[in-house]
Amino acid sequence: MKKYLYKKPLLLLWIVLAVFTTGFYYERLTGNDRTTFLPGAATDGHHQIISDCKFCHGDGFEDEKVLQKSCVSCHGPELKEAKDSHPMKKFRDPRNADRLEIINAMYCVTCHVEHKPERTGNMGVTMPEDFCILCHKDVAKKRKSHADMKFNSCDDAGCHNYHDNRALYEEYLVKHGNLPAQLPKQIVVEKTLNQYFTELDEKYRNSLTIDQQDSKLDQLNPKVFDQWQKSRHAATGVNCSSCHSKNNKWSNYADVKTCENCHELEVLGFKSGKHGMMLSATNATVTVANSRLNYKSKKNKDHLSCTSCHGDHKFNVDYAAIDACLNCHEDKHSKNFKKTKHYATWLNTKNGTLESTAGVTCATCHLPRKTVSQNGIERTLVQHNQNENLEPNEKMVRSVCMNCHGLRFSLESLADNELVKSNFNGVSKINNKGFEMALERELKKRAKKTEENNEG
Amino acid sequence: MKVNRFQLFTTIPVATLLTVSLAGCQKEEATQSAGIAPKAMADAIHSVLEADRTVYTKKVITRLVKKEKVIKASEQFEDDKALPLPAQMFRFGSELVAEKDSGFSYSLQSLWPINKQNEPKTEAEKKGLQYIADNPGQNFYTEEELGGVNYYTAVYPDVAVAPPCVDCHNDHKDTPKTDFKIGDVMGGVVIRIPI
Repeated sequence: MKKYLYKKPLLLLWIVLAVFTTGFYYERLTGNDRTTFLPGAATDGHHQIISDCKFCHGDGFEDEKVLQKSCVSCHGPELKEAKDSHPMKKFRDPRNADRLEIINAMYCVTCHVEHKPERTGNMGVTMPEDFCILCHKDVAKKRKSHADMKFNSCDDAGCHNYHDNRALYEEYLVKHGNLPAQLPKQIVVEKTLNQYFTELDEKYRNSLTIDQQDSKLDQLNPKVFDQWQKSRHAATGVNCSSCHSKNNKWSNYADVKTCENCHELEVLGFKSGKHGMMLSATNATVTVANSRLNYKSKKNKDHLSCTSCHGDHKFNVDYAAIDACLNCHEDKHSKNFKKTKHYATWLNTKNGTLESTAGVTCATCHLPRKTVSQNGIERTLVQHNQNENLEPNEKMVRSVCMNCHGLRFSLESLADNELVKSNFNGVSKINNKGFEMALERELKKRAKKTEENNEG
Repeated sequence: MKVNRFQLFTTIPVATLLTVSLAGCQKEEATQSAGIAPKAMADAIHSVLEADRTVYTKKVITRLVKKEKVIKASEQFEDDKALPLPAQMFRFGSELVAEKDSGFSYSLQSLWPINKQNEPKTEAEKKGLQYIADNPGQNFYTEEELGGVNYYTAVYPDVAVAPPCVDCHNDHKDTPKTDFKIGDVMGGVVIRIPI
């Protein structure tokens, strides 16, 4: 045999190649990373979670209901909160069977096909941009004002959104359309984490001093203890062992799971957002190098966790709210932040010129405050899932912008892409005609009512 | 009695066939007697829907909004901290039923809809809504095929039972009809049962 193989070098090469190829694909099939088998690059929204096909596809690729279940398991709560304008339940009615034949709105993947980068547009939409026409082609019959509008302009100027119209519906425009650009009082809702813990357990009322630390280390790093003593942790009775001791075993390191023990909802948000979704899907934390954004520290291989932004003993939320972001993000919008009036308000809250609730940071808009109920206690937390209001950006109008600005000013500012890039350093060039249309109809209605009353 | 081989070979298959057919007939009869005819089922569903809708309109909306004036009813009831309109209550119920895959569906439609999505779409809906408008007090029953499925479709008149019904419809900026009176047929409840 050996002699035979020496005589047939090509055969030997084939055998080696076959063994190598089989081994490679066997490893890929059975290992954690199956990206080799991807039919096409994933969307920006999902690229962090694609190494494990099962995360979306379950055990097979045949049943689209499995895929739908996966979509809903991540995006369902957000759509419910957004009061989805086109929920699946609306299309279950048999009278919509003709519509479903044109566009099957029962499945997310009808409009959001994955692995098709060549036809994927904004927000992972793979439908032609005038898809609204498929069901709303006769909109101008009832809305004469819409007669000359093109069907690829429905979402221009922040007028309509397929899913989330909470800030866009007609009565809302009428009710809030006349608000000034700057509201008389700008208020960023204060978070109530400390109040929540003290209400939950009396022990969090007791602050700790350096003498009360319970570290198991032989050599103490004074810098670390100084940072801890000045932190909210020491002020609320959280000792070294709370984070570094598990089952009486000391560990120098604390990970996301450690934080999750007390900050469950914050970590849930983190794991649902851009910074932590990889952890949810693959049990590995994302690095800057994994990102598709243009970062200055692209070579940074540090894995992102809670301490990446909050520090590991300082837990400085001021740093986490601006400089931690700018430490990695270097797109135009981010780089321009410190040139804006938003940043000036923040500086003014720090020097006491403005009230503490008036300052705006990166986190004010992208990790906004949200009031929830936890363990029967109502509290305001920082939503660490920036996906919740990121795209389309008018999703942040009600939860963020309107804490300080009028509705029209907010919608028009967000619809101006150049203004967004400048981080709102200027005035929008967009005119949202929807406000005039809504107001005109409202005034007509009121005039008619007055006429009827006079006649009556 | 002597049975020859020919009789045996002919009697057994005939007897078997008879037994199987009779059993089949019995099963069919049993199914029919145990089941409920689509019309009876649609009528029963409608009587519950109509009762709930009337109770909400009279005991909640009319009492709290019109008489006691303690709260408003609004299309944007969450933003306005108000009560949902009777038509919204009806739709929310029908959407919950649809989510549960309950084997039937229902909706509220009108020849004069405030929301254009609620105008009749299928031939059965168009005929049915016209019929109940032209023949007050009568229902309309038919069958139709939608998306490859056959349905028993029943259309029932939806009558203005209280002042808020006519006031709201007559005043709405999207209404195509502004002279509704109490007792008028304002639309119809369409119930579909797959058959």
